Amino acid sequence: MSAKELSTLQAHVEAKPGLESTIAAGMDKSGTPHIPEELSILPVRGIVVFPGTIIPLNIQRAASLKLLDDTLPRTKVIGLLTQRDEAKEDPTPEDLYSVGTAALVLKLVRQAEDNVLVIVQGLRRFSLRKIIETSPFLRAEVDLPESILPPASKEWEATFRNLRDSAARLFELAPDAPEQARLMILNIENPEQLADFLAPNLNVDVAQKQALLEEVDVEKRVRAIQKQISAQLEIAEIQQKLQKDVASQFSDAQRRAYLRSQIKAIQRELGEAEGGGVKNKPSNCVPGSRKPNRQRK
Amino acid sequence: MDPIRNLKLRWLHGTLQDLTSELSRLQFSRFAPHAWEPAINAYRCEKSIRICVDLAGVDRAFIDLTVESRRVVIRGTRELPEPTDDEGCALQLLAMEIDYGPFIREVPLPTDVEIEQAYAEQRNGLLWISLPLKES
Repeated sequence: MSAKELSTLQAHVEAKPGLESTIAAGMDKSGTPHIPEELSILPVRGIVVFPGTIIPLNIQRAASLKLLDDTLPRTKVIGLLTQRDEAKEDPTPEDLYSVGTAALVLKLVRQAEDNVLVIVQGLRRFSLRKIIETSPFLRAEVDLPESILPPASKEWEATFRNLRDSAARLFELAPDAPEQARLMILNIENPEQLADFLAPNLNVDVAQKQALLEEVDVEKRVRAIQKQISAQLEIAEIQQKLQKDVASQFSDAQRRAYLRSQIKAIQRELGEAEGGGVKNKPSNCVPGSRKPNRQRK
Repeated sequence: MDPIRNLKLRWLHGTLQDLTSELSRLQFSRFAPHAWEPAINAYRCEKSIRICVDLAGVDRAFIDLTVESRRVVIRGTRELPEPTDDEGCALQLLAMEIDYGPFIREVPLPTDVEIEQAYAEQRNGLLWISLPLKES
């Protein structure tokens, strides 16, 4: 390929109607990685990774490090399964849930000989079909279940919008939440994506999240998440009301304290005792009396 | 700019023990589609705006550039750079820090540009976009 061919994109200018034009409209690769039927299984503890989620994982267990070393030169897609008991150091297949998420390893940073940080992105649900190997790490054949979407209807549309609006409202009530987060939720048009975005962030335990991951019926998943979001929204709204009431009371108390201090100052200036009484006064301070002119000079 | 990709979730450390609590523990969590953002330098020159995009290793066939009068959007895909079979297959992944996969970068422009006269070229792994200023 000549330098000219390498360097110029001018030849690919393509005018579009209106204000837009596209230069070098290259072939658009979907970028969606292929998920193999056999996956190396990385046990994770304390979290459930959903499709779409990007999270860092700190890898320290010998079997997990071995998995990365053996698998990543061949493929960047691994399977993530959550441990039922996160205290288990060497989990067997029975110690893991059977539904997980195939994930793409985006980055890998070695922090020490036995400590590797990987950043992964959840791609798609999978379920275990058959365990192939258990040593030195778990490998399994997997199935990729299809999600079940309800037929389009006004009710389903309303259900989806209700979840989206509730979640956006919840983010709106979070004290330091950027507007960006709320807008992002409002821009999600796919119910399944919205559900998978919200599910890992719910304030529920691992088992409940795992149940949401295992639910292939999107309508059921959306309704279950709506239930949680509604409950959290109710709490958040009560919290907000309480905070407003406290703030209002505090302002009122502050105002009263200020006025009292002003009254005290005026009373001191007038020589009056606290409570409105008049202190013993020298005779020349009686109202109406005047100091001698000499003193007033 | 992709609002999803740029979502920062440190704000989730809040008193509200709700939707946000798990995220703060995870440090960050973003919603797909994952698209990384190439770094840019941008300059206002005498007669044009010039934008330099750090796109080393991206074949031009995988770059899609959209120019509007007040905005430029660069999209595409960078394949994971790996040793070829000729160079010897990788036996172990020691580090993987270079962004790969789909990317998108939106650059708002401070002034109107001549869309039809815009052009771009690749030099030493950088994509240079030239956007002539619209004469007022």
